[in-house]
Amino acid sequence: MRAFSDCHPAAVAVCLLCAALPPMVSMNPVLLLTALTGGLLLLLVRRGATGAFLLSSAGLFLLLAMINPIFSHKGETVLLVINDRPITAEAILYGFAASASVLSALFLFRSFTQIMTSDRLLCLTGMLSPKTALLLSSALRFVPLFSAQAGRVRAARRGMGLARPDSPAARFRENTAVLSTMVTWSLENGIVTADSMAARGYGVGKRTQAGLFRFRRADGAVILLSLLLTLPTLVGMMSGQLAYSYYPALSGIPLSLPAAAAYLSFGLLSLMPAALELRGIVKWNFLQSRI
Amino acid sequence: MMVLKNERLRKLLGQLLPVLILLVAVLGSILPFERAGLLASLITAILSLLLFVTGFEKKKTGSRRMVLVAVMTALSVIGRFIPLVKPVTALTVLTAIRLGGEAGFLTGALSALISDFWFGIGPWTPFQMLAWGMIGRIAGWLAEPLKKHRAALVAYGAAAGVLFSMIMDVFTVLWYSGGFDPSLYAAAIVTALPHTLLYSVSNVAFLLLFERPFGRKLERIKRLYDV
Repeated sequence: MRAFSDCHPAAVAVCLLCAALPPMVSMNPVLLLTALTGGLLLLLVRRGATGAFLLSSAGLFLLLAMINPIFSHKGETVLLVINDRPITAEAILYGFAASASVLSALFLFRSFTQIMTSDRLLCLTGMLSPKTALLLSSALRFVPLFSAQAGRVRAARRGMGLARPDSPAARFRENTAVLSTMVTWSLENGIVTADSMAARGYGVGKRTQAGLFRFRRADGAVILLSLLLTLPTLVGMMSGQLAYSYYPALSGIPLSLPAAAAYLSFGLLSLMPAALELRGIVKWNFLQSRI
Repeated sequence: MMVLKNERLRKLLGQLLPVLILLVAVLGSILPFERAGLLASLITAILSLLLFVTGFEKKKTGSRRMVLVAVMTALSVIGRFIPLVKPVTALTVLTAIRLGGEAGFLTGALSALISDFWFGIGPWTPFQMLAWGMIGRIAGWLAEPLKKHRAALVAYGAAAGVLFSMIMDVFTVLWYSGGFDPSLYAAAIVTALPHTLLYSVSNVAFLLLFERPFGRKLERIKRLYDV
């Protein structure tokens, strides 16, 4: 079994989306805390978060939590009254829940962005539409190509003594000239690329895709497991077994059997990416230590 | 390894999608979920993007046209790195009126997706893709007046900035509070006002700045290479 980030892109996407969905939809505090922990653990295991990021997310967490009591004055436990508007404990707690919901998705999607490199995303897009994947891959390739070409155009203009960036107006004119050259060049270059593609038989047969990622049995297992583990939570949310209300007073945390099953399965689902990743890292270090 | 290798399956998906979108939209408004609004809007956005992609997949598009769309996408992705002012909308609109609404949709949606590789993919990505895509698609429908009258172009650029900001604010509110709360939405719009203003002004500025040179270059390429 490989680390989580080395799994097939489809497995990574399904697993992370399954884990990100319940905390976005449900306001159940148990689910929210579980999701927050899972997302944070995955970031930490992958060393995907800098101290600055963690600090700013803590700030964002508090900031978002404060928005709700400003706008919502429902709830019966009044803590203080500002401008004839009651600030209630329930509204503050709801604010914390909403900000946990936003933060857990931010954490999970940060890992998602780090794991889903462009080749992985292309593989995913290619499954749905090879044509869009082709468009995406050519655009992705053009970005660095154009940046490099802009540098060459700039250097050439400097070499010819055309660039005199001594005043803002002159700099603006210089940038406009570079851009103009760039656009003409990139459009022409695009046509050449297209003709070259056509000469090699683009559009003649069915489009296939080079498979960089092999779909192994373990990937299928990850997908199946993710879907199965989401099921109890989904059922719990649909049937209202997981419902938790903040207004007018906090309801008790639902603890029925279906709710407990949902907590357990969602807990496993949230921990799965971090656990698989950790397993991969430990195995890699172990193998390296034997060399 | 491809899940949807099956052509028939893909075609079926294309036919099913419009029904699915309606179903989700209706279900979202009646299901007793706590935060059904967010879920429904997210799924609707993703399905709408899929619907467009399946339609695009079915059509035959010449390779020259495809590559031109990729070129415009790359240019607007590079443009999104300019601090504060973003020429993405302007380039999307210009692509749409010169190369057609479909090209406009693709340029807008793909620029959002690709630039989010750098700025972070998240639940907001489908909304951004859809918002920028629709700005391009609508510009494609309005291509004739936009090409002829500069005033129309200016008005469209300003409106697109406001529209983009308002769509993204809907998402922000939905994400935070689950349902649609008018007072939160009003607050979000007010807080985003400087950004909205900046979007609109930079859209108009870039459109005015780029319209003639880009239009000329694109028309030249179209005439020269018969795209």
